Amino acid sequence: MTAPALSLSDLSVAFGPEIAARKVVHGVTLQVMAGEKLAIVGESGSGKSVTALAVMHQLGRAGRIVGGSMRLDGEDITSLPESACHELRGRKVAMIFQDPMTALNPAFTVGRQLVDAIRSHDDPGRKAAWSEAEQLLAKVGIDDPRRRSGQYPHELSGGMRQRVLIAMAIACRPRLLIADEPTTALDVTVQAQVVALLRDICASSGIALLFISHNLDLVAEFCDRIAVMYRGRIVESGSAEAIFSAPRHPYTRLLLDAVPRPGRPLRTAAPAPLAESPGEGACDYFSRCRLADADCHVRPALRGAGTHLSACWRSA
Amino acid sequence: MTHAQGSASPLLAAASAGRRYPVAHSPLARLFDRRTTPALLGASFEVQAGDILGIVGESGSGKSTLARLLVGLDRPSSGRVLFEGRDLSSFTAADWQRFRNRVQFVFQGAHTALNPRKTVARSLSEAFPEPPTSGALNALLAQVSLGPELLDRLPHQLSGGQKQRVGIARALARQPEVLIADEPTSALDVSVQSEIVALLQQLHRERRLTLVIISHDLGLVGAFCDRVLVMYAGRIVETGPAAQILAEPAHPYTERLVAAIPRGLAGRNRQADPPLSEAARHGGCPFEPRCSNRIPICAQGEPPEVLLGDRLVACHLAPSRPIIAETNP
Repeated sequence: MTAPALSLSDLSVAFGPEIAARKVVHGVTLQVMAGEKLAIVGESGSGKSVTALAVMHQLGRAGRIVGGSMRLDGEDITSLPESACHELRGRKVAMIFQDPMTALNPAFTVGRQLVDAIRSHDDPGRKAAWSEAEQLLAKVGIDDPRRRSGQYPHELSGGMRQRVLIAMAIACRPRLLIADEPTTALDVTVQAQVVALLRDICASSGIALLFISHNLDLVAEFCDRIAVMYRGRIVESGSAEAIFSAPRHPYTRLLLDAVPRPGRPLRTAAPAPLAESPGEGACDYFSRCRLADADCHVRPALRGAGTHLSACWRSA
Repeated sequence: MTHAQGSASPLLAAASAGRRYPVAHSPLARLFDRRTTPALLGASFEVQAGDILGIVGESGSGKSTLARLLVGLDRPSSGRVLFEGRDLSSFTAADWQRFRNRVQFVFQGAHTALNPRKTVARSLSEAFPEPPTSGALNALLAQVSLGPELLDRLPHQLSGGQKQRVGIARALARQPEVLIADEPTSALDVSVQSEIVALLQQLHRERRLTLVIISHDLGLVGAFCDRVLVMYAGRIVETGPAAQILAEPAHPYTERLVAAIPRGLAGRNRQADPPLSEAARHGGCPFEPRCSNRIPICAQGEPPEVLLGDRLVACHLAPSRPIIAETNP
């Protein structure tokens, strides 16, 4: 069996100075195989983006990995010197972000930025890079790539900018593509197109995809597996079918109910905390959970038969 | 509130309201460059008291421009906007003051709508005509399910959902009858989004607040609004009851919007529409370059508005759509 494209085991990330460090990711374990699409779903502050940034070695000065390990294609990348990080980013892992406007430099044409990305690793020369840039733009579904490559970001629509970013991300043929809410800033019709593009790219090139989102309806459409995060921990994971059709954790159910869906009356989330949390060591969801009782004073571990796991005492 | 309530005239109405913006950015450049670009081309519709109206469309379709015209933040360059049958352009200063007490706006972007240097208490106080008592501020926060402990906080100390609640509270300070919200949930998580929707629903129920919700999320609008107005390229292309529009979109653009709503497992392996040229068409139907049902006439003339049951549809093909004809009462 081949090694997974990405494998995180018991990964913990903390921010702040050593003495007052605050853990924001607590022991996350997950794997993504080549060509597989894994979604991490959760609300703001659940640690989904921090997990992704840890893989990219982009935690900044305040953040650091305080436990566990990360492997990319079987190779340990938990602690790397800065020079190796440069090699890692782009070549092995690439990332696309929520806002395609701020991720592009407004002062350069998109072609120039794409060429820079191509030439940053294995420089094929200026001419070859330009023709490769045009091929990449065509590959991400941009009409008339020659003309578009001479345009500035402000001349492109939001959907087109996101396509350019995807082209930049796949320029160096990474093993893993991380997409952090790539469609949140886009219209629904454009969102559907961008998602279809990501799906096609994974299928044709075998790139593993880590897709971060808060919309379960969206990720269930095209991801193979889903991991639901809450307060820095994975609370449920399994195949998209299992999670969507038989959610076990009450938080997953809340997320599913929260998505407005036509033809269904809107069910709304519990607005304020229902109960005081019994303290450290209790289930993190305790204060918002309608099913919580005395058992929940002890945090449940991820458990379950087969591949569908959940961290809830109430789940069968 | 001294105006006679003409029972015949709707609370808010637009009569072929259009808005063009100058292409040149600075006043000086405008002396030499008099070109304008249309953001909104003749929108006509009515909002009755107690309605929940949704306005949907993609970026650039003119929905925010329309909202700005409705609250008088901007004046139409053609057509009229009417409040209780009176043209906003004929308002005196005193009329505006009364209007502002009754019609309020919640701005887009919970994260940028609040001044980052002002505490919640200050932001809210400014919304009152006179400095409010602390009791009034607490009561206002309670209306949006926030506690008084937030009063001394600055916006960066609030979560996205809390910021949006403060934005709504600010609009409620003068106890308006109409609340117009521009993308009230677009920057929020789904679970927080549903809380904000629940809050708006509650305000509608308890205070008979008339709501106009602008969004690009047809799923949200469909689940929440009574009536929907679908906009494309500065025009209204379809209006009607939300449930009908979602179940059986009559305009091909609405059809696309409905098809693009993520639907979980049910939507697995569905094909997305190919991206099509965004070239704006002058003369013909604005949607013609992107439409898969187009016929020659679509490139020649703007489509007429056709009444189909409770719905108005601007499409050359609308009259011949058989499904609709059957469902009409």
